[in-house]
Amino acid sequence: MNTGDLELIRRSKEGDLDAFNEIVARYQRQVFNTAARILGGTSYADDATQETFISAYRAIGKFRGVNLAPWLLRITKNQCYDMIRAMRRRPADSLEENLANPLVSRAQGGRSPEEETLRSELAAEIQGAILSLTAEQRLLVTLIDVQGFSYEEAAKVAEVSIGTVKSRLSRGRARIRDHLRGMGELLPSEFRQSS
Amino acid sequence: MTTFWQNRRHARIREMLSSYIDEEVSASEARRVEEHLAGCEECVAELESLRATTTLLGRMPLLEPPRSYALNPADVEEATQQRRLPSFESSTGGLAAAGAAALVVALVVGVALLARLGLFGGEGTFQAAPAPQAAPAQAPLAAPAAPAPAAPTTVPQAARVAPTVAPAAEMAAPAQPAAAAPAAPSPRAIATSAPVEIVQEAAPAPAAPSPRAIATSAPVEIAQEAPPAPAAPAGKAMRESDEIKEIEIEVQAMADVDVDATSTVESLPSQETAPVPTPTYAVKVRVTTHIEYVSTPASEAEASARATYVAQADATVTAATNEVRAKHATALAQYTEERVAAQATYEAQTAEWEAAATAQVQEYASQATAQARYVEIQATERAAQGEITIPLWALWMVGGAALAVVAAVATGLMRRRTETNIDERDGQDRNN
Repeated sequence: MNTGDLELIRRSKEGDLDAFNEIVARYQRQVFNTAARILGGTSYADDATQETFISAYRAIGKFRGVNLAPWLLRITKNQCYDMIRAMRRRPADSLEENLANPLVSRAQGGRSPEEETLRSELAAEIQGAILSLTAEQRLLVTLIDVQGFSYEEAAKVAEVSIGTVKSRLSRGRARIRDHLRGMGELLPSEFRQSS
Repeated sequence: MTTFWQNRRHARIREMLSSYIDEEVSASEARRVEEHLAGCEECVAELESLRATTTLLGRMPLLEPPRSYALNPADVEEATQQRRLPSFESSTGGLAAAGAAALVVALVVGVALLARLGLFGGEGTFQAAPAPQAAPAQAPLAAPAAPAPAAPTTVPQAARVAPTVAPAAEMAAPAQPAAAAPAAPSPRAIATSAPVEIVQEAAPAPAAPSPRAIATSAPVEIAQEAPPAPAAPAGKAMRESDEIKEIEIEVQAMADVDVDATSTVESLPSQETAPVPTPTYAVKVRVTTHIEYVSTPASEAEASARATYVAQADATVTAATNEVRAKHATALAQYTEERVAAQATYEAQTAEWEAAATAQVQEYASQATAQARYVEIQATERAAQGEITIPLWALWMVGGAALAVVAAVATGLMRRRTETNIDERDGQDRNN
């Protein structure tokens, strides 16, 4: 929990839009990244992020907790699941089409050439591997492996038990590994050795 | 048997490797994993590959949001409205359903209002009817009047001829005002008989020198019901040096009335405002005989001869006058007959028009009565039902609107369900 979240939550409940937008500023990166990894594209992630915060503003009056991140990401998860269901109903808006709009890394800070390579080609492959998972596996891999959430936090977001988190994450990781094994030279050395 | 247990343990350890990497296993589980790894190269390789995978995933760069997602007041307003109407989500489907529902509801309400205002069904035709209903009231008056000119139209051209004939014999038609004389047929009839001109050559005077001039004028005035002739100077005194040269008989019009049959016809008043007057015609003819002897009769015989001659001349003039009068009488009779016939025709047509117009009025009246009766019956039925009668298709529309609303509500509820779950679990966050 970020310092000062409680005060922002209190003011937001009183209708202070500036306070709520401070919350948005604090968490929009997490929300956007989660949505982008689950949905596989920035355009859908953009919509999902916007909808997440609109829904959050609508529901913050009923928020009784102190930890905003799991709450916001649950909303994000539900938003993404809704969009995935909608895309299944309309095959034209498939995730495959969304992949044609690959994630563009906007990570800041200096990068080594290796990181640049990873960021460009490998990142696209990894994202493709993530998208080969089920939505539930994708969520947990994104939360735990990409964003560094604990199992407990991830369980709250996913609204499943710790055991379920473990099993889903295990299968998801194995599947990604299998998917990446065919990449050869793109992979870091330690990955090639283990394969 | 040992192999079976070994495989089973191997499978369970493999499932734990992922959690083992994250140290999300208990101490006893960690110990068992490590014991197994010591003797299982396959699981070691599995562990390394998974670790490499997590490392790779951990190196995935965090994406920078393309924009700020701070809400603006418009978003807040929208969110507030959505909070009040949770069934109408901002999703495309929700909006479409809401729009369709609103459209259908608006249609139904509008139709109901229109039906209440009587713009549909039986009342509607009744609303439209009054306009024609008012028209017939005027129609009977106007309609018969219009054809009127048709009847007398055979006349006017001949009537125009009358004035040209006038110099010889003019009938002054009407004692009544000329405008009132429909009199169309008459001028033609009269015209045929018009020219009455008698000019007799004067017989050579038996006695040459006439000591004194004797002017005898024999004005002949034939008038039927006519005011005294204005007595225009009749004829002219011909003064000859010796004998009587000529006998001039003039038939002059006593009244110079231009019977403008055309204008008369055009101004023919309608049957109701002014009945066609029965005209009175007067034929006024004045025949003047001018016999003037300049010289004095030389003898008794000559004087007698002159007297005889004058008498003969007078007789001739009288005969001519009578002839003119007879012709006029004939013409008048003919005109009267034709006019009576025309009048009869006119009246017959008028009666026919009036009958038609009356029938039309009665028809409209009966229609109005029927409409009024229909409306009355409807009102009675409605009063009996205590409800506005709603057409079947309106019911269908209401049903459709209800379905659309239900669909929209269901969509919204489904979309909100997940957030509801979140709210229900808020209590868990309190424990954090």
